[in-house]
Amino acid sequence: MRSPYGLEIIDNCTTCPVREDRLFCNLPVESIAALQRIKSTSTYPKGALLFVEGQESRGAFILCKGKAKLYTSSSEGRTIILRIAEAGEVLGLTSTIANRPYEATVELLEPAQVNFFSKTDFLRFLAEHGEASMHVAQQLSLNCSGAYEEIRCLGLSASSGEKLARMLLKWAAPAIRHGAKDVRITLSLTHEEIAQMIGSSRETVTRLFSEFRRKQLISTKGSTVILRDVPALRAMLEQ
Amino acid sequence: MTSGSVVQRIDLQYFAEILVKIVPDLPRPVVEWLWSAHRARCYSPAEFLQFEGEPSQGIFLIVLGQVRLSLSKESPRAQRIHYRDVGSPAVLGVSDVMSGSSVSLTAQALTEVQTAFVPKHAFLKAVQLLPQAGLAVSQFIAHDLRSTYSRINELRAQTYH
Repeated sequence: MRSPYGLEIIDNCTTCPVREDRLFCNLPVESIAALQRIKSTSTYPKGALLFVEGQESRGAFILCKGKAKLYTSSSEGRTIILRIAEAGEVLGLTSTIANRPYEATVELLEPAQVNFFSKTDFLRFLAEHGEASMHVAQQLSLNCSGAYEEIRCLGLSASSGEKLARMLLKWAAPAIRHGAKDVRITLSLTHEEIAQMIGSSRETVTRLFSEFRRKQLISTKGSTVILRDVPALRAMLEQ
Repeated sequence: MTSGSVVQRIDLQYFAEILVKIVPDLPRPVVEWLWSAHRARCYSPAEFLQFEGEPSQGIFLIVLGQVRLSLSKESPRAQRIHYRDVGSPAVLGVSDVMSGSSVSLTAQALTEVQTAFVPKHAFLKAVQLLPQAGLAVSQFIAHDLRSTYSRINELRAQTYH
């Protein structure tokens, strides 16, 4: 089934071809069938907001297809991007489980399919399906590990250059792991948004990209960044 | 993990009172299972309960005393960042056990510390005893995660340049 945004919609979770690859969705058939009964599927355009920081949580969202950015505003009114969520992630999970307001705003970076579960239905489902609640605990625990890593990066990175190098290496990690000769990443963020991720200014990010190119650490072509010297980028983290 | 000194087991009622303050919806049979699996340990000031990066062995219920949590970066500078101090009642190590990752935070006793240590396999088995246990543990991790996100926001505001 095709949607207005050119997405191939997967309407039935029980027959989803990527279900087993995803941490939360890889559940026994009876649990997935129960999940299917309580979800509502929607498609959204790029730029749509799923929820807003401070809004009372009303439920959890599975990002079936697409990417989203999670951001908050600092007390000085700066936008701070917390992370980029990929397809398969459950969004709003922490707030729904803790019964607290959403702690971030979620904006879609591309057209997306999203499955929504109301808080009441979702909590009842988890209370009845032990394996699903284990998957939720595992997903939250992985988010904890990511958050500690973020603290290491923020608290112990000396410069914006180091933070940018760390971010590029993180995004390129799958390609590096697979031993790709040309480590390429496609940026879905603007320089302004990258600045909001590393706690810097747009001007600094643009200057750093120029500097990295001049030192032949990277090359760029449109939105594609090729990491030319991964060891040198890694060395920046160890200084 | 350092061993601490092994002491007499904690009374079930006291164990349950402390645990349900932190994980309120944990079903009673699960609490009892955890109690039956626990080992009581004491730590002197400055002694370490766990070290970041080592394999996760289990969870610590802090029954008495104060613990400092910190993390570091692998680098020649060997910098260390103070994450936060926690006091009884508190639980350490739940997210590491659930995710199967290594220990995320170094924990060092600031005072005399008494703990109830539950080995990883026993904790995981307990959480799977009843579906409500998984949900209760998820709720605990969610609250912990929210405070971690608050810490991140503080750090981001401090390090903006």
